Amino acid sequence: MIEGPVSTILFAGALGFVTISIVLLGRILVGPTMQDRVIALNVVGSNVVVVIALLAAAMELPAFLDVALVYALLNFLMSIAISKFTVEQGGVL
Amino acid sequence: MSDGRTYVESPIIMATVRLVAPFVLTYGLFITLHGASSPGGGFQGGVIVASVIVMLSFAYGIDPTWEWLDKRVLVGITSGGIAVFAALALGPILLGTGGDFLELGSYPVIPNPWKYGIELVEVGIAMTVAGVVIVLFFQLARGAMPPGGSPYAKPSAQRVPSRSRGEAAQPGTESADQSGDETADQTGHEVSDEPVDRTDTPTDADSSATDSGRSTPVDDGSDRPSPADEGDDRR
Amino acid sequence: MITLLEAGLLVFIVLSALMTAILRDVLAAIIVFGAYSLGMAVLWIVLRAPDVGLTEAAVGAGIMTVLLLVSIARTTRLTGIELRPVEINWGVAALCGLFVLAILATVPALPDMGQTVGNPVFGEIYNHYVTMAYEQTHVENVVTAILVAYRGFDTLGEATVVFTAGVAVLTVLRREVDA
Repeated sequence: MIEGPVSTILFAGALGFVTISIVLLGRILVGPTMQDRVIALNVVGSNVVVVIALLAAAMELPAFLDVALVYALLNFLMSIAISKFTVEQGGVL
Repeated sequence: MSDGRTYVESPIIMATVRLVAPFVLTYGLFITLHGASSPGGGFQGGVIVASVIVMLSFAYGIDPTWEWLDKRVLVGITSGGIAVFAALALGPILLGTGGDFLELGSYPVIPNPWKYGIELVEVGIAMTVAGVVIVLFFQLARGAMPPGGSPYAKPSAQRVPSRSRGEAAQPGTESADQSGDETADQTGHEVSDEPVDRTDTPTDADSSATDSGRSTPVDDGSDRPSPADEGDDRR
Repeated sequence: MITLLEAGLLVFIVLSALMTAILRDVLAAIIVFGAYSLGMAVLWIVLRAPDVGLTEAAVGAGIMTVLLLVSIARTTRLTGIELRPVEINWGVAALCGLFVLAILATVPALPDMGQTVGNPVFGEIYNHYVTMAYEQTHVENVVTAILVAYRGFDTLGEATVVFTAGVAVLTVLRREVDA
């Protein structure tokens, strides 16, 4: 692992985002509506993009940013798929 | 489903997809073609390319997108990818340059045969994977949204778990056979004939109107139950 | 700090996996499964496997959720059932716990992550790939080099499996592609 104050701070930031994601799991669990869950999942996805970017910077491996980019693009697909599905045919599930 | 009943048009999603799709496609091709130098490769790139089509079909409707796609191209890329890979694998033997099966490095003329051979193989894999994922998605999705709504979107029974199991079987089997418009209409009848008690959902106006004898659920796409009803159901 | 990060990620992944099993509503379970795959991708990044992370991102987050969604769109939603909590069979749970404990007991015997001495992973083959892959194939990404050059026959079989699966799905669903 790369040592140094900068990467420690970056790892700490990533840890903070992971903690937020764990808290968001509670929102997904209790709901109560499906919209809450979709939004919570979307926030988890955005967190993951940031975490991967922070990790890529902390480990000094810029190639890992590719994965963050894929997530940024596909997180959108996941959200619209679930939200289109839940409002399909005249009812919000 | 030309009347667009099952398709809820959303200008936000349409505009965003129109903006994002070219970039996702470019990125999928980048992942495929750049697999030799950075993370990625044919499998990942193919899936990302296929997700562009999935994205488009969510924005513009599943059936219009399926009609817009050229099926010959789909079949072509799916089997063409394997053909490219197999041809590249057999090439060293057929050319008679002394190479073995899959020994991409023995191609003559090409400056860096291993690298470009590997990238061509990745392109072949991406073609097959993209074709298969697109076909898989559409085969699953086309029957999934019959007119009048998917069975999943209809509340089959409220608060009565024992009976809901029995009723659940009916629309499921209806949509299991290949639902064209006729069978899907039958599904609507089936659902409308069921004695569903809705005493606790007074705001669910449109589906109870459907239940009380309208033959085709026409306006299902327009109005939705209120959030209060929603929260009641969800917990 | 990285150990804490790994611990947090593992908590996230295990929690979301448990929730996928516990939630009775299928749609909610699919959403949690999406969260699970997001956590897995970060774990792959922490373990420095960007290729696997990319696959997890593309397949797990993008396509898998969509395919599961369109699959449950054909089913009927049981609105009454999800109110009841999952009935846990404590005997089975205890048995599963015993298995987990038995497997966990072997974990301390494994070599540390990245440990080179006494680790069977870093043997002759590893050294050959890492030192020779670029010279032999001129491909920077060793994973791609192994996948296509050294194990090309395996990959050809894999691609054929994907193709065959597509053909099988077409046959099973009995929707002919109208040319």
